[in-house]
Amino acid sequence: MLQISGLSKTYPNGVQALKDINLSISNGMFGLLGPNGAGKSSLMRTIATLQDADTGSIMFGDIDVFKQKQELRKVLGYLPQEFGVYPKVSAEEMLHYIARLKGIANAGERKELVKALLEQVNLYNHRSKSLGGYSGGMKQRFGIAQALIGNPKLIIVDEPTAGLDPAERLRFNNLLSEIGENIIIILSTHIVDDVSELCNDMAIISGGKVVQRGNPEHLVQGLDNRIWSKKVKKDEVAKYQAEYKMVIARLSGGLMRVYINSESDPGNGFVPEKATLEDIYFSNIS
Amino acid sequence: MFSSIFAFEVRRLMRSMSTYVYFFILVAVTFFLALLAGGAFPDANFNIRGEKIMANAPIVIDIFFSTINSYIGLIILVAIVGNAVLKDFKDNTYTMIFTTPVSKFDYLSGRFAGSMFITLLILTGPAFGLMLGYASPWVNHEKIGAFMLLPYVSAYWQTVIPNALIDGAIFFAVSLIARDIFVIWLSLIIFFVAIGVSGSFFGSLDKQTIAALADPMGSFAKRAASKYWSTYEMNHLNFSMRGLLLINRLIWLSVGCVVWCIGYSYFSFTSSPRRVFFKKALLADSSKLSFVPSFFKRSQLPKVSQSFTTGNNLKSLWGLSVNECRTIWRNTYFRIIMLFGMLFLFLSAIQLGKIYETAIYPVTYMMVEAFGGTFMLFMVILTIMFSGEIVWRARDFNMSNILDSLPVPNWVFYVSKLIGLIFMQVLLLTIIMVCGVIVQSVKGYTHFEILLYIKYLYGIRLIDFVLLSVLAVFVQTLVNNKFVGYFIVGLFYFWNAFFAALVLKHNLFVFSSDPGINYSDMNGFGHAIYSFIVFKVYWGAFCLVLAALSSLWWARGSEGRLKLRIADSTGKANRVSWAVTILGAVIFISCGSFIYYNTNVENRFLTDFQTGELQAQYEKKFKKFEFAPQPKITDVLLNVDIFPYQRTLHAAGTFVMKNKTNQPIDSIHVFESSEVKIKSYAFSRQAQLVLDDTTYDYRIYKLAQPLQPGDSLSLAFVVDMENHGFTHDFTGLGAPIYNGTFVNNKVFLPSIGYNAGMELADNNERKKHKLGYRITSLPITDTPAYQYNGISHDADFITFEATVSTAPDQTAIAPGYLLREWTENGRHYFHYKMDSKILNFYSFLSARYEVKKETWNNVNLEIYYHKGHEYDLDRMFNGMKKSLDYYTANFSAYQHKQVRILEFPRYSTFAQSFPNTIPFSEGFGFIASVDDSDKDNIDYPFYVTCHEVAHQWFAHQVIGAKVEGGVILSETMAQYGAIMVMEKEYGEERVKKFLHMELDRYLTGRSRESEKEKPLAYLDDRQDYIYYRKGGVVIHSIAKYIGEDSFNHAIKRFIDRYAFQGPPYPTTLDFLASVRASTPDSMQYFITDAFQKITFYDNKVTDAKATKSGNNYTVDVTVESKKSYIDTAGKEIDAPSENYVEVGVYKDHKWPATIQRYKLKTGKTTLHIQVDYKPYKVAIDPRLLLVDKKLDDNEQKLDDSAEKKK
Repeated sequence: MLQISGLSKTYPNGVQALKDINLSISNGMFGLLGPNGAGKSSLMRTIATLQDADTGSIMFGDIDVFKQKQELRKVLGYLPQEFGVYPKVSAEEMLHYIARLKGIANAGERKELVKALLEQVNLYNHRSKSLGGYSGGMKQRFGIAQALIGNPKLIIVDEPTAGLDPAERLRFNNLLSEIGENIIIILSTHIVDDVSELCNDMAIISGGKVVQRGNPEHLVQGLDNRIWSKKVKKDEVAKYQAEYKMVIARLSGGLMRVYINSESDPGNGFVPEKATLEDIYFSNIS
Repeated sequence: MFSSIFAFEVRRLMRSMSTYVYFFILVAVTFFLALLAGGAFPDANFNIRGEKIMANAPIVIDIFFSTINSYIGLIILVAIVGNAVLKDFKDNTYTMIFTTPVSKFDYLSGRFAGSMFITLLILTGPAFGLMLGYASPWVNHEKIGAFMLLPYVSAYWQTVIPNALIDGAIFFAVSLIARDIFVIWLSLIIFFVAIGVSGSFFGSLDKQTIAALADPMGSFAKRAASKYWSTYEMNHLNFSMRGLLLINRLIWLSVGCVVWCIGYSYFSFTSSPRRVFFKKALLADSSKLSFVPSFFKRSQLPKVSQSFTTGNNLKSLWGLSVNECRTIWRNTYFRIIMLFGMLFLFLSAIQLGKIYETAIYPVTYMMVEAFGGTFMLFMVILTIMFSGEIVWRARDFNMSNILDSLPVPNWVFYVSKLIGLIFMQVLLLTIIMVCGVIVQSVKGYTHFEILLYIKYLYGIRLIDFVLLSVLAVFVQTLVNNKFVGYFIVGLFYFWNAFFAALVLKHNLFVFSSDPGINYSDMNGFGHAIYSFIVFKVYWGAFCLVLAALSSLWWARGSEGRLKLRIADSTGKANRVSWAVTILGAVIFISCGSFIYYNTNVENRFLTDFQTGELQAQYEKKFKKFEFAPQPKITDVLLNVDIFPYQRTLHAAGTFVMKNKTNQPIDSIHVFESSEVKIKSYAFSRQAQLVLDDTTYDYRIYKLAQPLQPGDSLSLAFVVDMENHGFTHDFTGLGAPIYNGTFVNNKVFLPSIGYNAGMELADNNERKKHKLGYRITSLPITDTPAYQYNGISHDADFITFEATVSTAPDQTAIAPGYLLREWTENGRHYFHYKMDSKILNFYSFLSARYEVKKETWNNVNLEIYYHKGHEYDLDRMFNGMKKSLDYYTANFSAYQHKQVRILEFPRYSTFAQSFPNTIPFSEGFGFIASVDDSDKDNIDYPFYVTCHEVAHQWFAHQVIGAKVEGGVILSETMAQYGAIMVMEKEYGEERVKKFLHMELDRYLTGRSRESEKEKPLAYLDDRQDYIYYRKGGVVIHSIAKYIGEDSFNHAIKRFIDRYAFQGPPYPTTLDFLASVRASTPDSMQYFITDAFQKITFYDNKVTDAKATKSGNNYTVDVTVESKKSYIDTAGKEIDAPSENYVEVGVYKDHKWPATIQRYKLKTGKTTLHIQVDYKPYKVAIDPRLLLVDKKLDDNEQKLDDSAEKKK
């Protein structure tokens, strides 16, 4: 159980990244959805012991993350949003290195683990290649492999699919979905589909605040029969926005399709739409 | 387009804070330098070019302005110009810029010009710092001349601008080619290699031109130009852009230009970032399917055990350290640096340890020390550079996100980085060892002392580098910017290495300091090792604190703010680190107290100013007794017990003293060095202690019955030299040491009367201590001073007998003949007695000696040497024999039956002649490797031996009165003897080479004269550049001008008249009278010029041709000769006259076949010389008999015009 309470953070340049975040996360894959700059990475880095908050606390079981960073690190697997690689170092070497640092003292065990990981993330054939030459998907798979070393109880995966092409993203999510239960996996993303595909619990974060949280399916159910859409001209969008509780306006064959949230049939040419997680997302961040 | 890029770059840099910080730092550093040179710190004697040179003399301004910019400015250049294009790649803005229609030329030249422009503005900083410093109220206004703008302007355009352009062009080009800041650092190192190599060649006369041209900074070219400048010239002259300086500037500017163009042509907008080593293309995933079933099963991962114990942390540390070391080892640039380092070492090995341009055997300590010089500077730069790279690597490569969240304690990261750095240092030190062994093998020296290499390099040298890396990593931990870190560490190093000791005075405050460590083959590291270790423990503890703090405050995670890191470090989890910090602090403080106890309580610690003050007080208190009549010592009987391994000495003895004045003496003044403990003084007559000054150990005893003229009394004394702990500074000779003790009577025995040698001699120093102006030597006309000889104030000639004891495995030696040698009570005793009267100047030596003996006409020749130092014994024996031949034949009989040479440790490099006993430094002749086939080699073991043996005549037979010019009769005459013997042995050509070096040293020496140059006959005791250097040249020429036999006859007559005579002692005027009596009237002017005036000639061959007529040739040569004198104000005044000057015609390049002397008027003279061989060249003054500042215009090759006609 990960308990985040009253977490706030303001950067020296005045940007308030986190505003009184309260979350309790239990085992399973937890999605943290939010637009760029919402504070997702700040929150993830804070959980991953890489930065401190101004106020608030994070408890992971008995571990007070701010006071017992070292303890948390022992059970943490972290795939950062961005990570570089040393030139001229192969994936295999790097995994060995990290396994070593994660306290796996036995060289034989290390070797076996690294081999298994490389096989399982499908990088075994490229194990002796320099990491600098990896494509985006391969690099993220390497990233998840390193995060899994040492039997972590808490895995943080920060925007892993950003920048991957659709096929790579699919493959990566496929891998992620197998990581399993009994541990907490926090996946931050700005891609709604990632969450709907993978998570059973989620929060939407915007402007440093948690604006929505719950089970994705339940959340979507809450919007059932409330989403309506209509094709309009571009210059009419503003008018609809003023008149209705608009969720989003999308381009559609040169015209705009506006989606609104209404308990009853708004008439006026609107047709009912099936609610999706995206509607939740946009309702909360706009 | 160019102008807008230029303007953008300028605006960008003008907005950048760092621009102003750089400028401010340059101003601050030079402001401090100006204060230092201007005497704002009374303790710090900081003279750039001699004391008479103003702190703001043009030459000093030039040195400060250009040197600061050549080093600190260089870092600024790298940071600004090196980054001008690089930052576009770093910030990924290049994709935007390269797709605009800007042309490559506009982009590159605009960036270069813009960044160069701002850099050049920043580099004016030192000028302002200096001006401010000189104008500040804290400087001593006597050290500051009138303000002149020109020196600043000239230094700026002659040196600062060209150097910045050269460096900038090179770094810019490198940044274009390699696109890696690391490579720029690398090129910086190559740069220092060039400077270092040219520096090592500058010492050799023949190679000065090459060195001046090879130095990219132009400083050696300027040194070559100003080498012989007089004080006046240095205070007033600016460098002019011509000659070597101009050529140097042109060469290097073109090099810069070419390099810039290479960089330019390498650079391309379209290609992907080109590194020196090409990047591979990205791998692609093999599968094209959009769905790949994942086989991933966490449960199938092998079970592993994790452990987070300290033991496992240590294992992790090992793994991490191996990784750090491997990274450094794999770094291509580092390998290139190592190659350059080796290249540098091999190049500098050519000049290794040369004395008189003659090589030495490449003994191990020499390899370590000589290789240590500039190479150590590389190591410092590399340590600073790699400390930044290694600390910032994870962040620079964006790996820190992963690594920082791993369960590894900070200290493991920290220590692994430190180990990586130390590994790098060990590698570099290993290069010294490997190159050392290679150089030794190439030179055929096979006595490899690998253990000494290991001790010296990894035991002693490494410590300072480790301390430096702890400091550098600490700084890099604190700052948020790598370059700021470099700057801080660089600046601190600069301050600490050069100025901290001057300003803070005590080693306790100078980072990484120690009292000094000196290796000697004879004495090893000796007693220095103990204090060295204590000091290193002290600084090690300091660094332990830094290390613990670095690890506590290690930058981890995405937030770099130090405040947060410090706040974060206070948690319970960090208890161990804090405990280590406290432990370090406790060791630091207790070790510091222990050092203080040793240096300041057990021993006396005085700053230079305090030492000066002590001397000043001595003079103020006791000067009034200087001419109080005192008896003179006539007989000395001594028992000296040397305890080399305890480093103590015990002496008991009796001085018999006689009243040689014509009045009764009522009180006796006894003075002893304050370092020596007086156990007892007992007079043979009743005497009462009436004054006992314990600060100076100056005592006055009042005799119950005055000592009547001609009466004697004796003083029996017991004194001890003790040894307590260690001192603030290394002390070598002058006290007992483990092996190679060398002390003379002035160091530890009492003396009678006021000792003027204690006075502050330097008149600038005297002013600081409120003492009046003092002439260095008494006037030659001061007849009362004729009562005293130049060596000892309290005796004339004495009888001498001594029993010396030492450790059982050592031999102790004193002047005289060994009467008996025995062992008693575990001590080795030697009883020496002198058979004839000697000066009151004798030495005691003790060491584990080997002996080699030979004889010459019943004179025993002995050399006591350190085992292994057999190299030059034969040359020394030969010197003894040949000089005894020449001196006994030409001067007088030898007064003793033995000559002994005794080796002593290389803490000082000199040889000194005591009666029939010549202590000779291990570093000055015992390891000389003379190549007899090379005409440029000087057999200096031979020469020094001849010089010292000559002192048995000149000093020990005739000694001058204690007035100006007195040293001529010992030192210059000893030079004469040695040069004549050398000429007999090695020929005139080799002697000319020697004279050329001596002339160079004279001319360099006079340009550093602190008071006033005096003519030979009237020189001061301290003017060694005159009595050795000019003296040798001039006295040799007298022998040539008036004839060797006539001159020797004059010397013989002088010795006959004055040998072994007590007072009144002769002066140079007495000697000159004897010389003039043997000199024809036509040559009298030459004696006057040589001895009584400061004379310069400017001789040159302006035109020469040879014509063939039959079998003979006519050489038509136009020579120009000019003579000038230096007047009392130090200015050179032309002296139109007629002088005898030799002109020589050469058959080959070696030595003139014909030398004729002509009487030349001032100005041009055309001569027609008939020779019966084909002339090769013609030269004026070919034997180097006249003092001429410019020798390279003294000869001309002859074109064979006769041949051409055919």
